Amino acid sequence: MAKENKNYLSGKEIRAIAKANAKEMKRLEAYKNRKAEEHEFLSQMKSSENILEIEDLHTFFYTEQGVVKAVNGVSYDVPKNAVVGVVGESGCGKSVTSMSVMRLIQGPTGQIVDGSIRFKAYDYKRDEKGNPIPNGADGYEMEEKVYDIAKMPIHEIHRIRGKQIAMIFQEPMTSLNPVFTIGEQLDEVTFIHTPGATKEMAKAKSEEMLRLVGIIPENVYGAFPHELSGGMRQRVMIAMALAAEPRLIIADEPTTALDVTIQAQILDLLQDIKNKIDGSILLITHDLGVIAEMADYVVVMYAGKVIEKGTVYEIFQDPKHPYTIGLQKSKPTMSLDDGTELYNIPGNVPNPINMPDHCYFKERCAKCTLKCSGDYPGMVQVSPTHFVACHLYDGVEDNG
Amino acid sequence: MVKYIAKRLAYALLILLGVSMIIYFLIRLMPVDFIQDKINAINQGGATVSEETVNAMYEMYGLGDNSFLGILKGYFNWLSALARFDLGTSFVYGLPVADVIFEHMGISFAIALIATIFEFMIAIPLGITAATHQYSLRDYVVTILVMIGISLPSFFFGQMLKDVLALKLGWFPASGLIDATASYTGIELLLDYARHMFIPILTIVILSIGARMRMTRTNMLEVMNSDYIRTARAKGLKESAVINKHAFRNTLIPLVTSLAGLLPSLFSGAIITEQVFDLPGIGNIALDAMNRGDIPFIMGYNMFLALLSVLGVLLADLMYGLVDPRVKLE
Amino acid sequence: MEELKNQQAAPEAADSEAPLDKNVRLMSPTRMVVRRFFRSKLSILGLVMVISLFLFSFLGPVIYTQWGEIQLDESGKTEYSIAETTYTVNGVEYTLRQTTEKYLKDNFLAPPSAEHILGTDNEGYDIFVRLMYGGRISLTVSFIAVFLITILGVVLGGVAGYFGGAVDNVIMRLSDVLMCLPGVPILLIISTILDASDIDAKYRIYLLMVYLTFISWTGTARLVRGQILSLREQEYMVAAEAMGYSTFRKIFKHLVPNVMPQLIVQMSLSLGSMILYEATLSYLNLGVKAPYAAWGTMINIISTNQDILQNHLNVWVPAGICIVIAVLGFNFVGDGLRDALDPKARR
Repeated sequence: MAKENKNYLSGKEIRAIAKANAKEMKRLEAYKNRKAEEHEFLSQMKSSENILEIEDLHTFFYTEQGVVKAVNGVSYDVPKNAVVGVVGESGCGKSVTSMSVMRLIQGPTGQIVDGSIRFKAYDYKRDEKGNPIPNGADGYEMEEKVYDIAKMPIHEIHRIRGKQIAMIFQEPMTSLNPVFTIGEQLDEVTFIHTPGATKEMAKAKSEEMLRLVGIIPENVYGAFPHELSGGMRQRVMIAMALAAEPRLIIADEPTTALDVTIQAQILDLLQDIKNKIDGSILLITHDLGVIAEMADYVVVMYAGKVIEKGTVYEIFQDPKHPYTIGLQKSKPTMSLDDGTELYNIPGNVPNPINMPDHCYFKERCAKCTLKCSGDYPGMVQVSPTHFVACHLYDGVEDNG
Repeated sequence: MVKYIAKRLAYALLILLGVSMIIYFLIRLMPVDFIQDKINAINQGGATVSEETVNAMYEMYGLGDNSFLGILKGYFNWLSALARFDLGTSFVYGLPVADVIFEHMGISFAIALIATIFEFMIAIPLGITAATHQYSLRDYVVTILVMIGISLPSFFFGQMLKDVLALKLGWFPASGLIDATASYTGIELLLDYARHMFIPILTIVILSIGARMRMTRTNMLEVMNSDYIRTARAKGLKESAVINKHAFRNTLIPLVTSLAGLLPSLFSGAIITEQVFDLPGIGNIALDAMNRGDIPFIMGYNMFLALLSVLGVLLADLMYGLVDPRVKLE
Repeated sequence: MEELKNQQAAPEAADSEAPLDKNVRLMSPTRMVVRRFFRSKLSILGLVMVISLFLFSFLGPVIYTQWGEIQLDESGKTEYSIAETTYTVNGVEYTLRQTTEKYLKDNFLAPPSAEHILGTDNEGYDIFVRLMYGGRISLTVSFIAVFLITILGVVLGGVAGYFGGAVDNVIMRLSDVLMCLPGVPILLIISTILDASDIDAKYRIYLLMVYLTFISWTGTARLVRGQILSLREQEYMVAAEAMGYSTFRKIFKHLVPNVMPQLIVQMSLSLGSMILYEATLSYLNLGVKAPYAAWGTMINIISTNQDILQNHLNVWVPAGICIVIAVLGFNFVGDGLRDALDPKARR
C-alpha cells in the first residue's frame, strides 16, 4: 500500500537513512563523551562587549525520516547586560538554539554538528586538583575564561550550567521535581555552586531569592511544587535561575504556558529583575509584544536560520526582511479594527528534512525577484547593528 | 486519613464477600458422592477422617440440600463460620484448617522474605543502569535477562537447578528443610536450614527478578524523560547526582508501593517451588491437600489467599499516599 | 493510528504539527511500525522462534510419521541385572556373579538413536514426536484462551467504558473481585470439579482454560475501558461529536484504531503467559493427562522419578526447552510490537 504513494519513502531509502544516521550519531556521541584537556575548549571572544557569541551553529536531529536541520547556521551575539529577544514561529529553531547553548539537546538523535558557542565565564580560579583557591578573605579567587560550549565534552558542562548560564523553561507545571520541597530544590543550587556552602547559607540565599521574585519565603519554602499555582512555580523557577547569580539567563518562552494576567506579572518580574541583576537575558518567545517590551536587541529566526537581527528600534521601526514585515503586520492591534482583515503570511514553512537551496521564504514572499531562485542569501549589513538575509538588500551595504 | 482508611477497609470487606461467593459457588459444583469417594480414599491411605469431621463439613457448607434456599442457608452458615475465623477441620490433618495454615506459613514466609530482599537489591540497580544507558550493550543484556526470567517455567528451572547443583554437583541438599540424619543445634541448625533453602531461594530470585527489573527500567525511563530532570541538569548537577537523587527518588514511588502490595503475598507460599524441593511450606501442603481431596483445607487456603491479596491492594494504596507527596488520602 | 501520524516529524524539532510539504517524502505509518519492529533483533529472533515452533508442531507430525503420539515402541528391550554375592570359604574369597536377563515388551527409556531421535520415555513413547503433539496442544490451547480473554475483555471493558454509570460500576467491581482470586489455587478447585465430572482426558485442558478466561479478562477489560474513557476526553473525539458523527462511526473510526495497538501487544504478551499457565497445570497433572502429550506433562514424571531427573535428561529437558522457546518467542514479539506501536518510544 505504501508503494503507490509517492509521498512515502521506500524501504530501501529508509534503510539508507538509518545507516547514515547511525554512523553520524555514533561519531557525534563519541565526540560529546570524549575526554579533553581544558585548553581544547577554551577560546577567544570576537568582541569584548559580548558575553555570548553563537557562530554558525548547526544542530541536527537524526530522525528515521531523514536529518532535520533544526538549527542550520545560526549566528548571533548577546552583549553584556542586555536583553536579546529571539523571535520566530514554532519550530523555527529558536528553542533548539538555546538548548544547544545549555547542551540540553537529547542525544543520540539530537546533536550539535558544527559551529561554536563562545561564552565568557566568570568562574572560581582552580588549582590542579580542580579545587577553588581561597583569596584570603571569605571568598575565592575568580577569573574570566572564554569557553567554547559546543566543543566542551558533556561531562565538563556542569561548569557552565546553573552557575554561568541559568535557564527558565516553558512548562512551570512539570519543571519542578514533585518529590522535593521548593526549599530543597532551591538550596541545591547554592550547594552545587558555592564551595563550602552550609545549610544555613543555602537557606538564607534561597529565601532572599524568593523575596526577590515576590514570594514570601515562609509560605513556600517548605511546600511541595504541586501545592503552588503555575505562576508561583514559574516565580520559583526564576528564583532558582537567579540563585547562583549567573551571567546569562535564558528564558525559553517563560510565559507561554501561563494565563494572560499571570503572564503580565511574570513579565513585570523579569523586567524588574533585568534592572537588578548584573547579567544578560536571552529571551525566547513567539510573542512580538513581549519582545518590544523587554528586549534591547532582536533576532528573527525562520526555518533554522537567522533572517534579520538588529536593535529593537531597527526591527520594529524599520524591518527589512519581508518575513519580519509580515510578522509585524499579522499582529492584531486595536487601531486596526476598521474592517480590514488581519494580515497573514501565505503558505507554510518548508519541511525541515528537505530544505531547498534557495531562500526558504521564497514560496511565501510577495517581493520575490529572479535572484531569489539562486543561492541562499547572505547576511547584509544595513546599519552598524542591523543585519538582514535577503536578496532585496544585496549591494545596499552600509558600513558606516 | 482515618476516614479514608475506614472507607477502604469497608470496600476490602465487600471484595472479600464477592470472593467468598465465588469460592462457595465452586464448592457447590462438586458432587457429594465425589467428596465421599475422596474421604474414603483418605481413610484407606491410613488417616482416619472421623465421621464427626465429615458431618461438621456437611453442616458448615450446607451440602446435600440443593434447593435455592438450602444453598443460601449454606452460604450464610459458612460465612458466619468464616467471620469467626473458623475454616473447618482438615480431613488429612484432623486439625482446624487455620491451625494447619499458621503452622506451615512460617517456612513459606522465610523463603519469600529472603527472596524478595535479594530480588529488590539486585533488580533495582540493574534496572536503573539499563534505563540510564538505554540501547547500550548493558541495556540489551539486562533486557534479555529480564525476558528469560519472565519466560522460564518455574518447575522446569527449579528441577534443572536441583539436578545440577544438588544431584550432579552435590553442593546442596536436593530437597527438604533439614537433614534428618543429623541433630544440629544453634548455629549449625541455622546453617543447615540455609543450605536447604539456597536453591529454592535462588530459583525464586532468578524467576522474579526479571519483572522487577523491567518495572524499574520502564519507570526510570519515564522519569528520565520528564521536565524536572531537564531542570536538574540545567541547574548544573552532575549526571550522577541527577540520576541518583532526582530520578531515583521518583522511581522509588512505584517500587515502594509495589513492595507494600507484596507484603501479604509473602505468606501465601510458592506452590511450584515448594513442590519441586519438597519443602513443607504452605503451598506444597495445599497442593497435597488438593491431590488428596482435602476440601476444607483448599477452601480455607483460597479464602486465606484472597484475604492476603485484598490486604495487599489496601497496603499499596496507603503506601502510595505516604511516599508520593502529590497524593492526598481522602 | 492518529498517534503514529504525529510521530512523523521529529518531536523535538517540530513542536507544531507542521503540514507536510508536497515535495517531501515521509515514512508511511505502516512502514514505520514494521520498520520499528524489525529494527530490534530480539523481535526478529522472537518471530523466528514462534514460527519454527508452529511449523514443528503442526507440520512436524505430517512429515515425520514414524511414530504416533500414543504409539508404543513394542520392539522390546532386554534388561540385564547383575547380582554379586561373595562367599568366604576357608579364607578364600569367592564371588558368585549372577546375571538375570529380563525381556520386556516395551522399549522404554531408550537413548537417542536413528530410530528415536530423542529416545523414548518411561512408557516407551517417542519423545521427539510427543514434543510435536505437545506443541499442538499448548499452542492451540493458548490461542483459544487468549482469543476468549480478548473477546470477553473487549466486550466487558467496552460496555463499561462506553455506558459508564451503574453498568461500569458493576463490571469494575466484578473485576476487582476476580483480581483478588488466587490463580493456580482456584484452578486446583476447578480441576477437582473436573475430576468429579468424568471429562475425557483429552478435553480437560480446554475446559480448564475456558474457566481460566472467566477470571483472566480483567486486564484486557481495564485496558479497553481506560482507553475509551481517555479517548472520550480527547479533542478529536469532541470534534467528532460536534460534527454529529454516528456512534458506529465514532467507535470504528476513532476508538478501535486507538485501542488496537495496545490490544495486539497485550495479546501477544498474554500468549506467552498462557503457555506458561498451561505447562504449569500439566506439570501439576491437572491439565493434559497421560497418555496424551503436553510439554508440561512430559516434565511431570521427574517430580516422582529421581532416576529420570538425573540420568535421562533426554526425557524432560527437550520439553522444557520447547516451553522456554515458546514463551520467550511470544514475549520478544510482544515487546517488539510494543516498542513499534508505542508512539512515545523513540530511539
